[in-house]
Amino acid sequence: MKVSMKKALVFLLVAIMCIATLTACGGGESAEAPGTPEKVKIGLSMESLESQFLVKNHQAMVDKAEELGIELVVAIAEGDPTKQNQQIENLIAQGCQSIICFPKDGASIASAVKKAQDAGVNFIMNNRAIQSDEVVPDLQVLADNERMAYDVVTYFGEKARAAEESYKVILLVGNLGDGGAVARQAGHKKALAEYKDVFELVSEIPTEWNHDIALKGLQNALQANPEANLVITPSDFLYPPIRSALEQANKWAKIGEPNHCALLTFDGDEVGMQYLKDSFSEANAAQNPIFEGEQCVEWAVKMANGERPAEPIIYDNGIIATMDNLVEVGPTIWSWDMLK
Amino acid sequence: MNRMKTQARDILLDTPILPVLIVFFIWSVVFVPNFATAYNIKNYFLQASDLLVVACGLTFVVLNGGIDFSVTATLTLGSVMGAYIMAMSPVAGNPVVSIPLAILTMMGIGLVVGLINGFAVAKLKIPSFIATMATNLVFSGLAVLLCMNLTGKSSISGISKEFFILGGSGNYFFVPIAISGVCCLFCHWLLRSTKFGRDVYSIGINNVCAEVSGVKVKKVTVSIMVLSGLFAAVEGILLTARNEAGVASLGDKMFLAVIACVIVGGTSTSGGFGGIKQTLYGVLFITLLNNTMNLLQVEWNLLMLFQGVLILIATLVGIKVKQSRRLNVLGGKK
Repeated sequence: MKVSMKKALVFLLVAIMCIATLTACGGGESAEAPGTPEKVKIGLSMESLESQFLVKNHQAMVDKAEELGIELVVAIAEGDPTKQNQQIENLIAQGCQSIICFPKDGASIASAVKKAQDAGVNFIMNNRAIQSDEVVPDLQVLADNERMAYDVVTYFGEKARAAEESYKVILLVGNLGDGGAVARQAGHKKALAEYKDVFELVSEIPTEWNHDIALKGLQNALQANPEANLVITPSDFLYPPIRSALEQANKWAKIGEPNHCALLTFDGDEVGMQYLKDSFSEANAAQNPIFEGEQCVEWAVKMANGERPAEPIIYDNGIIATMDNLVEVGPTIWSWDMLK
Repeated sequence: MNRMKTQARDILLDTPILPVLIVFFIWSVVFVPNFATAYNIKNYFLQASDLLVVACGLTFVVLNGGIDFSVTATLTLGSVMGAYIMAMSPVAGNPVVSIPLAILTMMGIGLVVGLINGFAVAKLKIPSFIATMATNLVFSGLAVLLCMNLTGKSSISGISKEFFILGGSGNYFFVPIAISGVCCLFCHWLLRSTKFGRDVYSIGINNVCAEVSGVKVKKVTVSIMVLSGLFAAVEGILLTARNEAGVASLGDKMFLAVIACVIVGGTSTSGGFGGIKQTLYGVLFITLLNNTMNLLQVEWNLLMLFQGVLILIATLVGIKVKQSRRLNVLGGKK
């Protein structure tokens, strides 16, 4: 019987896949469990490297891993929650003893946490909290988002109250699947509610952490509320669309200029701190991506060696950098060396 | 010898990715650490099922000479609505009711999106590129809007655990693999063994000739868009179960991978040539690429670059194949 070459190739492919599957299933210990590493092997899953905060946080972990002499396997999910879950499956397959995850979405990451824990792999959430009632990561290293967001608005509320000024506020909101963004929104709104005599919330814009959505939302909000004179953002990442929209509305000006629109921001990245230094913004709640990254790696190694943290959450308390304390606290912020 | 050469040429023209896939798979088994483990092989097939169903649906559209950008919006909107029904609706506490209702709703969304696309392309004569881009914007926007308004968040957790079986949770890893396999076989049968399948090919090669020959072009085009919507909805069901949440950004970054599977497999972007078999090889190849590159710790940007180059090469090969076959049909090549 003649068999065509194509059929033979298809048969070959199926045979190889079957053999690989059978070999894997019958291969004893190495087949039943992910490969056993020779030295401590930590997996790192980043949702993307789209902001300076993420880049700095990633770099801090790479540096710390090098310092500790451990193997750090990095996977970047390009902002795709399904891909992030797939990459975590691949990190488990590689025999990582702990996985650090900067998740795209706090809810959909729960299935990956479950898989890792089922495979005996420690799971550490980096910066963003999990949003699940059923799954608890081994450790979460988080910025104290709600308190920092509350503090930055409170600082400005006190100043405005003392100066007897009032502000019409546009509040930008991050991705509401991101626990950090939800906490920042809660902190901002709590403080706005406490300073009702000086703040009036005229518009709230969900941005999905997307420049384009933020730009269009802010343009529309400024169109509908031309008297708005304070923009609060949950991240310096959103500065490009904020600047663009304010410029178009002729509101991009330094503090003291008549058309200045006040800005309260979050993160403390190079762009945000530069605008604070250049007097375009009033205050910035600066997180510490280096502290968070280093804590994640240190604990990933400790947990790989059997140690357990005393508390399930380690908080980064951050710093509220303002136009009043910039000289004093600026140099302690991670992006300070990058400023012009 | 000549026969072998002809066969080799036919394989390269028909399924150019097949020999590459075989060599790559063997290489991965031998040289990639942790590839040939039960855990990873299971992951590999699960990850392939994340793309296969939606890619099969899209294959019909590409074979027809069109494109459907809305598949990712369809699965995203379905994911949000399905998760809402299972986690937050009045029937959420009763999985016997909520799961079938959620699945029906998700399929219904696929059907509606497909019908809108089909009507726009076949009746209103809007190019599929424009029509599906518009529906993609509408339905992905609607997904975010609904999710935010219904839940105040951009993802919905708390879905009935029974539903997770469809995503391969626990020991049920074979479920999504089996579902995607059945969908793939059904599509293959539809294309190869039915009049509808022959009509799809004939419209893809030349829609004017097909119409003159008595093919009901409009009806077939609407059916193709509906199929694409329905298979996107099925993928939405599988991915929602796999992520154990309804996510408003579920399909945001997926389209490149899906279209890469179809094109790299060997289906021609200008329509008429290719099929489900090619898409299956494309899915297996792209999944293998992602899996092995992760295991080898290759930089993610290199991976993107590699995928882009592959799509470019595959498109060029597709154009050559189409030219070569046309020459054969016209007797220009012996």
